[in-house]
Amino acid sequence: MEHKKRRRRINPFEFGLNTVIYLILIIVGIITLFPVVYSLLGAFKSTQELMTSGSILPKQYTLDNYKYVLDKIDFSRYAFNSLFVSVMAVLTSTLMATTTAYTFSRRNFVGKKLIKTMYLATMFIGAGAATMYPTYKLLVDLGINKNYLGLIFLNCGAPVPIILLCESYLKGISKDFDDAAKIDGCSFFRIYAQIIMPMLMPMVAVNALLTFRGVWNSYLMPMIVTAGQPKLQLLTVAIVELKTGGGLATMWSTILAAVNISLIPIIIVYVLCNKQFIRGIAEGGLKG
Amino acid sequence: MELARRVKEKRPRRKRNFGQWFEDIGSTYVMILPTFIMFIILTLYPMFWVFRFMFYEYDGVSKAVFVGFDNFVRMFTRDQAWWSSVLITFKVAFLKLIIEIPLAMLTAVLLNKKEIKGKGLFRGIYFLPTVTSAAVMSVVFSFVLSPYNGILNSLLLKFGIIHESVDFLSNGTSALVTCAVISVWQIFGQNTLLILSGLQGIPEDVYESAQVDGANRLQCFLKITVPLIMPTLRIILMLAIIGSLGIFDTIFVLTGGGPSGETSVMAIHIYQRLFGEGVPEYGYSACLSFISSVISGIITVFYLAVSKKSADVY
Repeated sequence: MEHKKRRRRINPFEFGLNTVIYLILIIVGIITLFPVVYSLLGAFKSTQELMTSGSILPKQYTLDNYKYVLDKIDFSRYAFNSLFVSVMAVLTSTLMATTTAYTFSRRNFVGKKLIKTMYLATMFIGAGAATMYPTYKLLVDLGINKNYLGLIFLNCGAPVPIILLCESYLKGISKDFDDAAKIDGCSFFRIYAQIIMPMLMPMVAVNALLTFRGVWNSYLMPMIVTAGQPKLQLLTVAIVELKTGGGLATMWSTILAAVNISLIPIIIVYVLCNKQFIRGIAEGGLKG
Repeated sequence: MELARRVKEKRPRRKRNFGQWFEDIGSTYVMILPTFIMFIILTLYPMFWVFRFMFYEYDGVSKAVFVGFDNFVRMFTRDQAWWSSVLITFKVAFLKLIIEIPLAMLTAVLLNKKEIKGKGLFRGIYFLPTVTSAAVMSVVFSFVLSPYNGILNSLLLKFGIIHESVDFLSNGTSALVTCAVISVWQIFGQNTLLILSGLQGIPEDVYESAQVDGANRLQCFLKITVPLIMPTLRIILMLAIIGSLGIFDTIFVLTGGGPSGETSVMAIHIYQRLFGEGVPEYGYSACLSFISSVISGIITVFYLAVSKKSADVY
């Protein structure tokens, strides 16, 4: 009874408005998804079909493109490079951001204000694009531009927004936990490792996702550092090179297969960890 | 009180052994230093390098020569190409912002409507491009947009919207618009998300009491939603401005700054002077780079001042 009444109350205006709203949302959604779907499906087509057919769905599914990029042009290696460097970056940034946030929130020490101000300031003050060169030069001078160390070193910093996020999260955790552990004889480090870290896990997850996304997708610095060293290239760099470097430039569906090797993992991670991603953006974006 | 202070003063003096010192003070620095050292190396050092070498002439081979403000004089008086790239950056940023912000606002407001189902799905779809790589997706876009056999052209032809294939990247203006649209595609979902979470923070009863007072929907939107979302929007717009002025990957992969330098934004201009063909000009690039960040700094400060004024009005 109740249900029927409510249904009758929806007036034509409301109905029309909702239809328009859905229409807008769906159109924006289709445009948003289009390039991604185009790439995911296009890699199953032959280049011939990709170029001539107006339809987005393949007529015949083929895995040849994937076989080609994985076997013939070493994309398994680039995928490994990207994965390795990203995971290392996640580990180092997690360690650095959490130790700093923990110390900031639990200790007062000489220079704390200064360090904090510097971290904050560099979020807003930069020196522009030319900083690429000294960074690159530094890797050369340290002799680590020709191996993985250089690529890892580049991403070894702690993202300041994550430090702030962790710190404000830790401020919400009572110091009683620390004190209780201290009385039981725990050192500063053990409190960090065994009490603080487990409680910081939600923030660690956010950092892991954002850092992984950043490094997995990074292009400019890896491109500069790995110029002339094809074995070290990350996926992003190798894909752009495929397209611009001649050779395969006309084999679109092969290049799309390479693109998908970069897209699919990050999309899977995104779908699985949608909530953490959104939390990270919603909190980190505005607090910073 | 007195007793408490004396106890406090006494405590560090009593135990002087290393273990205790380390636990109380040393450990702090052990925890803080790795991050700080990497910060100095990766953030501060390159910055100071730029601040120093903008007063030098340096090609990487011969010795760096101190030239004072010569680089600045050259830039302000003789370097047309640089100023046109500054202008191009403004154009791209402006195009990007006037599409991105209204689109994000629209989608967020629509998604915030109570009756709409599948909010999570829409939000998830809009956010998807932000997890993809700008460089990699630009490769995909170059296929989609291609004048020969590109799917967009063939779709437009099929529906009779255009009569012959369009090369979107062939001239400066349309290439700029295309790059702006693609980078909007890439990032607007993030702003939708941020605005949406701001909207959801507005308590329901504000609207209810307004409706009791006889306010219609438009009034509710203009008098409640807009003012309450303003602080969020201000920060989003600021981040969007900073982001747009530093645009690189999308344009670099799609056009490489071409055709004939017409999409060469500040970052690409500087990149080409550092790593492009010809003799690298590290000193001069440092000077340009410094000016580029001063420009975006000024714009940000100016924006904050103006938006503060408009925030006061509300």
